[in-house]
Amino acid sequence: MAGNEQASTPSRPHPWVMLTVLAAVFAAAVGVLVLMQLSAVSPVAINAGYLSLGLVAAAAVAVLGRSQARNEAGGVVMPAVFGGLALATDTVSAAFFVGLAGAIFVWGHDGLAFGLGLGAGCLLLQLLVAPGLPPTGARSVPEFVALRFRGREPRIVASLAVVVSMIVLLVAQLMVGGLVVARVLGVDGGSGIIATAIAMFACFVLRGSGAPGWAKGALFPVLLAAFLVPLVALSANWYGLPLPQIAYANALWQIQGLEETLLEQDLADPGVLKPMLTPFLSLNALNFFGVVLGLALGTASLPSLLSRHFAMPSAHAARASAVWAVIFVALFLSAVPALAAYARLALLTLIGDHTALADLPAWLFTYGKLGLVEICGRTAIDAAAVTQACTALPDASAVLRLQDLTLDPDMIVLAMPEIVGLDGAMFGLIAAAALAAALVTAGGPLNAIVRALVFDAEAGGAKLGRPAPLVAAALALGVAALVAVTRPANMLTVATWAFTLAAAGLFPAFAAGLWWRRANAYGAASAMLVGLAVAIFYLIGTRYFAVSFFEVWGSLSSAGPTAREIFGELNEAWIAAAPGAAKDAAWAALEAHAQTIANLWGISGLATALLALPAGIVALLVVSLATPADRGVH
Amino acid sequence: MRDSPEASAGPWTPARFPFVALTLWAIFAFLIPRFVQALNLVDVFAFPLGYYMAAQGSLIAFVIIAVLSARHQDRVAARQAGDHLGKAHGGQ
Repeated sequence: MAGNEQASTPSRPHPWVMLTVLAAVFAAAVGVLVLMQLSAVSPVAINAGYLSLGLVAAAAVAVLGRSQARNEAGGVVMPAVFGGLALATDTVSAAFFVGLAGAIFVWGHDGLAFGLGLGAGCLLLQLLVAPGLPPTGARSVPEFVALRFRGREPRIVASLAVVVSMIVLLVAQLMVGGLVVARVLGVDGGSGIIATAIAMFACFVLRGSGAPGWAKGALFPVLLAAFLVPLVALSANWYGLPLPQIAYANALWQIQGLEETLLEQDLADPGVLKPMLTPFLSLNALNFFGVVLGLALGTASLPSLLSRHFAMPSAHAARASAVWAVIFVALFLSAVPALAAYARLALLTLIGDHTALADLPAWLFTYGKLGLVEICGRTAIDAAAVTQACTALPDASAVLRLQDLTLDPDMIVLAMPEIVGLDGAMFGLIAAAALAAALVTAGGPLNAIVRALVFDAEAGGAKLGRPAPLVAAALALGVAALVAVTRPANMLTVATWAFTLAAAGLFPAFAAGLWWRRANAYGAASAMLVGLAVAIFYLIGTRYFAVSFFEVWGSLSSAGPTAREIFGELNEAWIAAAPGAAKDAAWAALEAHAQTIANLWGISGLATALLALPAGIVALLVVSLATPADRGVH
Repeated sequence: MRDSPEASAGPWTPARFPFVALTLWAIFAFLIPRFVQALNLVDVFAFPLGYYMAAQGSLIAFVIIAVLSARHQDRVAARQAGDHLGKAHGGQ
């Protein structure tokens, strides 16, 4: 590992110059597009312009990353700030950039768990994991496991955990890209996802599978600007204070006032309205804790983040970059609650104005066509469909009420400029940044998968040709795209699953490898296997096999007697239903209900870490202590 | 940069376990968000304190812990380098 400093060539662009040039080009391109908008060029052309801006930004990052990886294989002294920017891009990634604010918008206080977990994870990474990695000489998570624990088994299990968690993370990034493409081009979600997968593969080919470079860092200022510009404009406009992180306190109080007004005027059902400031209505305290735990430990063991720390020249450098990453991620996260509050305030104002169903704003139908808005229990395709659905309700109303409206959290960040009434340039900026982020941050998971599958197989003696990395990447993207097209959940939930799988599969073995000498190969392998198995079992069981899960584990479920009775009735209805459409409908109703009650001790799928982590830790302790210590590891 | 003191101490024995920083981390990540209802009774900068801590306050605390603990760890590493200078020089 020593002596690679000479490898860097003088032609390498200085990181600060690169960052400035990229940011300036991006800003100039946005400026041109805004001018086009003002001079009434057709919106189709402008949307295509924003889309290509995102594509070009991603391609530029990929090409720069390739030249860096060639020049700097082996680690070079980079300014720590730049390393921190790259880490922050990978941590926030497209899924959290687009998904986080929606969770706070829909779930209020409980949505804060996701940002809190991400921030806590960045700090944990810096405290426990990052400084320990560079001295080991490993380059990836499976390689670390193979170096620390002797034998092939730990390495194989680690590779499995890496591949599973990273494919799920790819699903989340694909969903973001697919949503942006579908929204801008007006195609359906599935085509958007396939187009995104192809673009991701192109970026991977451009980028190559070399060492992680710092080019990604250039994207973080773009993400931050795209997020903050509309918020600063709003804060200045509404409250005369261009600092959204503080100004949104006003919005919180206005929301509280509006919530009471809506209840008084019968525009909101007290059973449906979840006040934004009241905690633990959507996630109870236990599940809130579980989400924070899963995301925090997942961040600290996420293979796509750790690959960066392995490439650091020293513990000091790894720690310094990690500190900057905490600062940058916190900077982004602190603005997220403001976006959620502004969008929520605008929506409650819309309802409070007694908006008639006939004059609903256009954005509801824009996102309704993508299947993200439901009004009166029906997907909001156009005004006629909405009016028809709402007049069919038993307590029909001529104006929009809170309980009639269901917004998917995925759409909030992209739709925010329209919800609050800003012009289309802001949407374009956010969309371009989100698309670039999706394409660029897919590189981390793809590289981790390729490393785990191809390079580790080659290290084991297998001879694979040059196209092997490309085949592995294409396979991973294909599997992820197939899952993403089915839209398993909202993108934030999918990203949380990925982090939970990484935490459950890797964290106990990883932390023990760094901090507990007595941990041995048997213990590490069983910890990873048990943690991963419990997490996969619980996530898939409660999501895809909810009915059987409840039938088997129902006695441990937190469901009340009424919910159990309803389950019994629906089950009988399904058994009694005539084969054909009626049977399918009965099954759909049964499954939808089962998904709400299939759990162990009330732990939701988002909080799977609460079950999988203790299982992994117990396996680690028991098996390590019951078997002889590894020899020769210091 | 490459032969830092921590590297010379051996790959599997990094710096001292950061007990204090981790305790503070756990307090801000888990304990304070748990008591949000009680904290919401207090207002700070016009924010209900419990909501503010979960939204932004804990993040500020994380940044402060990160900076202070990194400084501390670097200082410890430098001291260890001073103590083991002769040994590391010959041993590596």
